[in-house]
Amino acid sequence: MNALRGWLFGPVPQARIAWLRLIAYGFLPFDMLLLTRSSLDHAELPAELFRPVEIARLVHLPAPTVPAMYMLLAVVLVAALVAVTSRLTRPAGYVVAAGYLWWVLISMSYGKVDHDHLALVVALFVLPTCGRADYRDQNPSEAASWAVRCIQVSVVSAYFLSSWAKMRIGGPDWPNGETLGWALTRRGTPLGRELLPYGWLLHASQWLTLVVEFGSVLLLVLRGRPLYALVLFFAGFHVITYALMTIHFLPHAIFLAAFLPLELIRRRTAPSKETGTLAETESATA
Amino acid sequence: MTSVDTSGDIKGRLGPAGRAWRTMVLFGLVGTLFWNSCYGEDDDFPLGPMTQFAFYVQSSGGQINSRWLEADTAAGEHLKLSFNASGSGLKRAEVEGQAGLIERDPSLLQGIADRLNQGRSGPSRLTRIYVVHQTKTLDRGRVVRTVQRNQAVWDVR
Repeated sequence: MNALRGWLFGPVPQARIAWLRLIAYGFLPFDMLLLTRSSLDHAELPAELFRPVEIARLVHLPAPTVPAMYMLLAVVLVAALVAVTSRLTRPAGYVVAAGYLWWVLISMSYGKVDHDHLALVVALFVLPTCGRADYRDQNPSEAASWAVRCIQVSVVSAYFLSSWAKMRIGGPDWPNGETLGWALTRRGTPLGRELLPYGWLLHASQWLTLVVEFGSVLLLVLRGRPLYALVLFFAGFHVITYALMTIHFLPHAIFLAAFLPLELIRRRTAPSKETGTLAETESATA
Repeated sequence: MTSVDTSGDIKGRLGPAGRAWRTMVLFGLVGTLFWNSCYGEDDDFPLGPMTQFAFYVQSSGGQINSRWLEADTAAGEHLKLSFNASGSGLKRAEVEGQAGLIERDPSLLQGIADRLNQGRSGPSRLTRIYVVHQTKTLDRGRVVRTVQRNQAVWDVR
């Protein structure tokens, strides 16, 4: 029990929350105007094509209209701007979280959902719980630790449960099938299509994918350089999938940063006499 | 300036209630994700299951299905429409997700045509819109046969 408490609440400097807010809120314009821009496009379609996912049905989310979606876009982006400057972090943060959830539910309610938004949605809901946070605030916080753990768990879950789903849906023979070939045939880049004749390489890649996705739980237990090496590996994994089939998983991949001691960025750039003693917080980071 | 409380006290220490609800929320999140991964479907977005590329494709006899939108213009031109939502309003995967519904009621394509015809006039106007279904069949991992058909056709009003 104590170990769990230590893992969940072993204090993390508030500065890491400030950096994670910058990542989450700073990413929103890119996501809403490019990745999930379909919420605006969907609003111009007949309401009969709106097939709301479960949460959207539960809250009776109506079919989108163009004015409503532009209004929602503006509200979320303005609130994100307010929250990222560490003003009104709780109210502005919750407006962002609820508004973005509405936005992304619309984007995913037209016959296809993307599985790369879990960490972003979770981050938007947990970051406001930490209150004000400054990039130079090295004070340890249990609330910050919990928020960071929630984001980390959502990142690991996306990997681990991907492999779980492969076993549940594709079965134990999934790595020996042609799923990667299927993906490269449909949406492979010229580089990716070059790999199609090499079936053994595609199968080996599928085995590797399965192993590393199941092994992603190590992100939650490793510390220091082994952890950073694994984070780098997963980042490289996303770069390669983008190069081969333009699947970037960016709303998920950016939160690999939650495993890094982001608070050290400002500490390292600050004059040494101002950095103080951080022994207490360092033991709980990463 | 870097601010650090060097007194040894944790400023952000939580009370029992604060710890309790946070613990429950995290356990609820993980539990929901696992439950949906065992028994759920895409409808449970954003809380799983993570079904991307989870299906199995047989090396021999497996099929690669694709669907997309095409259209005729008043000038007699035949166009393959964009795979992005910024074109027709639906992404390719969404067209695939809605293909059954559209096949049963092709009039749903009218709304897509209306959107696409905004800013088009005369010969460039779309007059007919198609949902095209392509099936590639594999043999030992290689595509050996490609079949294409119109799954739904709608004459634009």
